[in-house]
Amino acid sequence: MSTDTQLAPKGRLNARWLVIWGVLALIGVIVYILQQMQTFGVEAPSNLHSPISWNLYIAAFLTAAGAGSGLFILVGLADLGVIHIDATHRLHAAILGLIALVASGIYVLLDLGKPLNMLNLLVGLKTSSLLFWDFLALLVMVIVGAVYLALLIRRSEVQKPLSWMVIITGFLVLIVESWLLASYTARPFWSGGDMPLRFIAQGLLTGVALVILLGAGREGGLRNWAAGLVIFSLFLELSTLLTGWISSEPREISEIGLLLVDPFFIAGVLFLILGWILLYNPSPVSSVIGAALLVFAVLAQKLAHLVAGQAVSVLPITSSGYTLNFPEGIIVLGVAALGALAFVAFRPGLTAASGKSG
Amino acid sequence: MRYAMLINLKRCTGCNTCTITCKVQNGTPPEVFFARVLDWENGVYPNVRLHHMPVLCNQCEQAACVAACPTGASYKDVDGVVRINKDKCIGCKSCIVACPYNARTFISGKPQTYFPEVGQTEFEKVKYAAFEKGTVVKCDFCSGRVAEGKKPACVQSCIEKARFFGDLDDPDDYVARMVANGMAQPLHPEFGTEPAVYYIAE
Repeated sequence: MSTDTQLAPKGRLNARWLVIWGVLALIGVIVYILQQMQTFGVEAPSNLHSPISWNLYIAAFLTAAGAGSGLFILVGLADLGVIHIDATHRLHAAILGLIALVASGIYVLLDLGKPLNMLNLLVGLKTSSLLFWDFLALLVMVIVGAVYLALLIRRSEVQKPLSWMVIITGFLVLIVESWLLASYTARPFWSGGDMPLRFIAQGLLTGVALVILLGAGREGGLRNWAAGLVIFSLFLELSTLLTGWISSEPREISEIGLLLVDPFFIAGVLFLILGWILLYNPSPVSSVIGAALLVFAVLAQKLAHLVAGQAVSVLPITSSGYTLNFPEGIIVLGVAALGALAFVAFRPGLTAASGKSG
Repeated sequence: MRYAMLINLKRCTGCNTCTITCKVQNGTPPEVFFARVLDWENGVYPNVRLHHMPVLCNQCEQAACVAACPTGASYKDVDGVVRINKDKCIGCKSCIVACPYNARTFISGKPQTYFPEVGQTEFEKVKYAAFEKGTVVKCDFCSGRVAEGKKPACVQSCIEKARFFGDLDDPDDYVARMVANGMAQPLHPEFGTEPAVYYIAE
């Protein structure tokens, strides 16, 4: 079954938002250049006090990759009639999904010491490294997502197999990324069986939140999905804390202890609850704020878990933990703002009829 | 051939001669230590004891860093030493996350000088060429010295003669014998990395 649906006239985007995104993106680029010139924001190399090697950029990468995958899963599920997202928002979600995947690639490049050597990852064909498989899974997701989007834009019917394909590839990305972290035997905190569930829940939650931000989901269906995913995410956090509570492993107890006092963990939990409450507020502004809080909640959760997994060493080393590197924070926001601008830039060409339902 | 190191904790006094010699030998920038000594206390006053544990890259047989490296930049050489090919390194830090022993360091920027008031010394300028921004560095058992038939700098300089360097594949070697007869154990074998640095417990 297929119906072409006339896209609603482009919503007039508040010019103030465009200015804000533009300024944020510009500041992000300037801060990045200054950082590269080592004017500020570069930490001294150290294996003495800074065991946290993967932090904000990687958390942003995981969040963006999860959001992209989550959006494509949702779009695929909407095609199959499992959830309701209208054709316009489905198309917008697919565009945003592709932008989120590209943004995840940018976050990784920002974290790399020698991004110009990135091709070595392909040439190396090092199959024992989960990073290789992660890269491959993301590449497949981008290709499948781009094909899906191209077909959607050309008004041609998106066949069910392709819908299934975006769903499967989306789940594949989320599972490979959780598996990537779980493969580090030196970081037992990440090796719990809940890791794939956590990644899937967070990916879908970010996807749902972004679809709501696009203006869909006010009728309640997506909000219920968001509520379910928030409850599940909170349950996973609680189970992590309880595992630490009953554990006799000193390392696990230390990791859970660090997590409990981590401001990002606390912020993540608070944002989840607050976002959930705001989503059910009848005011459209509240739903937008609520959905945005849910995206930040996932980012904060990812960061807190990344840090907790690296902070405790088997060696008697006193860790200084992780404090937010503000230039990196500004750069992360800048990339997100660039993504928002890219979305606005791509959307005008898509005012023609498009889409498919059922 | 499989190079290995034995550290006798009964002899180590935590004098850090190994730490300093390593820094001089490798010209490591501030905050970068290929060899270092960890100190910690345990017990309750008046029964308190200070412990010292020299640590360095364990040159593991099943190196987690090598498995995690997505480009093959980290590799296990024929002599058992784990080395890094800087040209292949993308600076993803996956190896640092994978290493249970905190033996690797990411060079996040231009190496700083020990003498900020006068700037980089000639020694630093020469030595810092090996510390390329955006790559990962670590101990390689002083490969240059070993190739010349010498011992690694930390072994050579150890005042207490707590460190020994040898070949696990040579049954007559002192280190190999101590390992074979169970007198020496690796650090945290539960990670399954099969380290080539062994310790004789206090």
